[in-house]
Amino acid sequence: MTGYSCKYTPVELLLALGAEPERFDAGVQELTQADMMTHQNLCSHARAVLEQYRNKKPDGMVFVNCCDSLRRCFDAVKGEGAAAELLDLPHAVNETTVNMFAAELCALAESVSARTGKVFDKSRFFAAFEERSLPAGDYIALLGARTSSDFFREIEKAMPLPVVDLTCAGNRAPEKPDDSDDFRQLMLSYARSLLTQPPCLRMRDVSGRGKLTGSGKMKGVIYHTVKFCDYYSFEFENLKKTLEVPILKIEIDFTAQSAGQISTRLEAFAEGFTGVASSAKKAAEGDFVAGIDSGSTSTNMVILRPDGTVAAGVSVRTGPRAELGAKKALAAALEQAGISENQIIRTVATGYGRTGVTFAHRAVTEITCHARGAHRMNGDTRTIIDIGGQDSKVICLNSDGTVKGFAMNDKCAAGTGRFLEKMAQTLDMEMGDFCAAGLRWKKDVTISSVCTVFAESEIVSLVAENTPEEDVIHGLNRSVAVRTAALVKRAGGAAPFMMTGGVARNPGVIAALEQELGSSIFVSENPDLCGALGAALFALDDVQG
Amino acid sequence: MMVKAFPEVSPTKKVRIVFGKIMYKWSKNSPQTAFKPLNLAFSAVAKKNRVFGNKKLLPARAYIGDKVTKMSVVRPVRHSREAALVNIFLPCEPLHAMGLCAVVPEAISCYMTSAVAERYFVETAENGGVPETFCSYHKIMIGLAESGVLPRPAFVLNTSLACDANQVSFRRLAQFYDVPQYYIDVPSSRSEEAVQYVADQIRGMTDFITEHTGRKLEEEKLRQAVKYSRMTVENYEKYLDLRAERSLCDEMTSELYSAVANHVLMGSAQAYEYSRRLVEQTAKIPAGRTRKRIVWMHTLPNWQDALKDVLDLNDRVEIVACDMACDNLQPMDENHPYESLARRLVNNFFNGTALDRLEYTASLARRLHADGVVMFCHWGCKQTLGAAAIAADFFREKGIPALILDGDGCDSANVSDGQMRTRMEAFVEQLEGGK
Repeated sequence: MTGYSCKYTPVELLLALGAEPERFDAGVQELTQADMMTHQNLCSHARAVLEQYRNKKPDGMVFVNCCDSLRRCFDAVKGEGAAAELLDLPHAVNETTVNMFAAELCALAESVSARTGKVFDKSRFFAAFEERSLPAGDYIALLGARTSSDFFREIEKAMPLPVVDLTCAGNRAPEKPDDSDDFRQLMLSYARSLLTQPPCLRMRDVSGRGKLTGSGKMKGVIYHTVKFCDYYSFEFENLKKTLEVPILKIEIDFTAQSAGQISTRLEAFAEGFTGVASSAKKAAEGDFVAGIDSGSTSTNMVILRPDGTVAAGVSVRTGPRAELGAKKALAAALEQAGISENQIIRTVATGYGRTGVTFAHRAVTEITCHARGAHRMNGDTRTIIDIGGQDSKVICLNSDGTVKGFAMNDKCAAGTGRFLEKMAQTLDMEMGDFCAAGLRWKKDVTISSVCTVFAESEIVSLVAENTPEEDVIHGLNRSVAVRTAALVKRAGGAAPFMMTGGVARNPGVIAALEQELGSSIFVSENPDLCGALGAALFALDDVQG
Repeated sequence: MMVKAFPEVSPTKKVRIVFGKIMYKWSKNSPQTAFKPLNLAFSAVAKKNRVFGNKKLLPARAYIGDKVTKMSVVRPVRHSREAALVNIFLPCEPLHAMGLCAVVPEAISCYMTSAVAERYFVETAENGGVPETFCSYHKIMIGLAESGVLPRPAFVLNTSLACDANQVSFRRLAQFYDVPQYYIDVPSSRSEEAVQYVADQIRGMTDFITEHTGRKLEEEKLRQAVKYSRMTVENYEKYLDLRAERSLCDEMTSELYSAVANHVLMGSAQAYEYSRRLVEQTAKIPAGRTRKRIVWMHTLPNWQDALKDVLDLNDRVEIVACDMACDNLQPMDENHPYESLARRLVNNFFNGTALDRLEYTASLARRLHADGVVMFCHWGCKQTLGAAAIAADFFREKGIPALILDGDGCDSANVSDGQMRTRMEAFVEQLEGGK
């Protein structure tokens, strides 16, 4: 078996030489083998290739110098004495480079043939070319950097329309070259077909990528980037501005865990196509509906009367298990509403723990629910800023309260509630005192680090310099505000703003954020209940048909 | 050398912090005028160094500091229509021959960070969707452009060599400024065919410049520029041989200046003059190696106090060479200017495997009698990061002590002073044999 990664790899040639090419694009459980071979900040896909190389022990590897990370993967594999080849891929496509690439292919054929002991089988070569076409009906395009095969299946499962893989590796479609008995001539034609595929972003002329998004049948785009692969975020920025279909950006690091974290985003995106209506029994006198938001820190529940008025709204600590937190919230909400459990005829769950709420009838993502809840709380809202315990999100709304777009940060603690909690611990302060002190600052202190660990050491230094803790807290609030304002900008958020989530109870962060955004921010009396209220409104839709 | 847990902030750093805060607001509120105070500050510092420069340093350092400031920062900003936005590997001899100047991310970003003024530009770029994991030199450059602070250049010129960042940032910058871009594709294979292909593209670049500026290239001036390059290379080789037998009181900034002089200034009379003065002044220093000697790989975070405390102007340790200042040290022939420039690109050790670069570094270390090598893994540079594990094994096998030092060449928010200091000091102690 011969492992490879890039779409410019001459797969048909390798097949014809009996080298059994296999694309190393699986997701991995961990990257421990890769970490022994290279740096952790190398492109995650490249690291996953190394992990698979160590696990699968192929007879050979064929790399293309398509990016810095894969060039260095070649170096690492070659350094272990493995049979590895590196093809020099030109950036520009012209007669000279086609010739040079053909020479590379001839040299590769020679060395692979020496390794496999097999000669070039022309009929196998031509049989290996596959015709590819887009679906006849509507579809969702997966664009950007390649994703793992496992994750692609997850995306397909989550989407209401067929998903077409048009990522850098997925859009591989070299045309069948002109037949020739002269091997060099054949390789010349083959080099041309390989180089004239839809270009990846490292190529000089990327105008050919337009055909990837040109079809009217494309109803949405999931734009995928890989952690530490910097190429594709650049294209995303352009597409975001020019495409007229919904677009969702996701990023994975090729581990199974990172793919799991994306499910909320995929579901919320799918909800945008299908809507969230569902059939359920109609409400009668004395019936209630409920929404429950199972978050990482708190579980919130709202009970609504059939006329849509709020009968109860509670917030409890989630504790170690989502299900226990949900039961606690249910008990507290029932008590507040003064009703029994069987009077609730419909419950919709949302939040990270939504699938763990066993008594809920269905789940809707917190993105869609927050939008719905915020629209009910304040109909003017166009952008929700939700800073929770473990992530922060920005949700842009249409005027009817549906989701226009969103952006999330959940890769890093910086800019989240957990970050501020950790910093309060470092300063040895209760959260309430910490929030209050942040408003009493006198001197503008800059906490420049964006990493929780580095920020903590900056605080230690500031404390050692006798900087008043109010000023330090203000510095921290500003650093959260700057990061959040960046997320707002990325999502394309505009005023009027509303803030939800636990951090909405921190007036210091709100003041700093208002300054960064140059706009006031609406905060409801119960900012924690926004998601649960949205979920309850969906439950109400269900019973009202 | 005691580890200071909480080093005091020096008065000059305090001034720079205040300046950085002013610049943050200025850049945000009035981007079109923000370069005026920056240029004034850079020029003032360069002038101060020239007149009152640190007497421990070779005077050549103050000379080139002044020229780099003027040629790579002040002039491209003041006369932006005569400036090309280039990557550090672009052969600039044709620009010098045509009286144009060049602005390069690695230089201008370092100036921003030295002035504690990079924050706003990092934020601007990231807010515009530039990944946080992207090379911060290029990120700051994009931020400078898109914030409206760096004025529109005449055009963008770049090579595919040596890194991924070139492929995306220059395309984006050309689109943003709406200026034409010329791109030189450098094949990795070191063949004569590749040299001819690149030489033809460099000829094309001169036509492109003529088309967009109306300036004609006089071949004699190009030959003169390449002659300067040849003499600069010859001098720098002589300087390295002299340095091999001598110790200098030096600082990280010196190697950064040399890297700029031996790239974008290469082919200018000023780069040649710098190399001439280096030889002349180093020769006057008595022979003898008195400090621990380090060969540095990649860029240098010359603004970072934790490293300055350990590495700059002291009697214990000196950086004797940096690979980024040496990759262009290749024979030049003014009678074949295009082929010479092309061969320099194709044969550059950055245009190859990790091993090519490591072998060169090891030879540099042997030649300069270095005690150890520091490989600076600049955040976002996948080529260097990807070579780190290979380098550790490589230097271990060669018996050369090596420190793989993760850091950031120009984003001060992305590094921890304490961690850098501890690693660097421990390495110096290791070289001293635990004394």
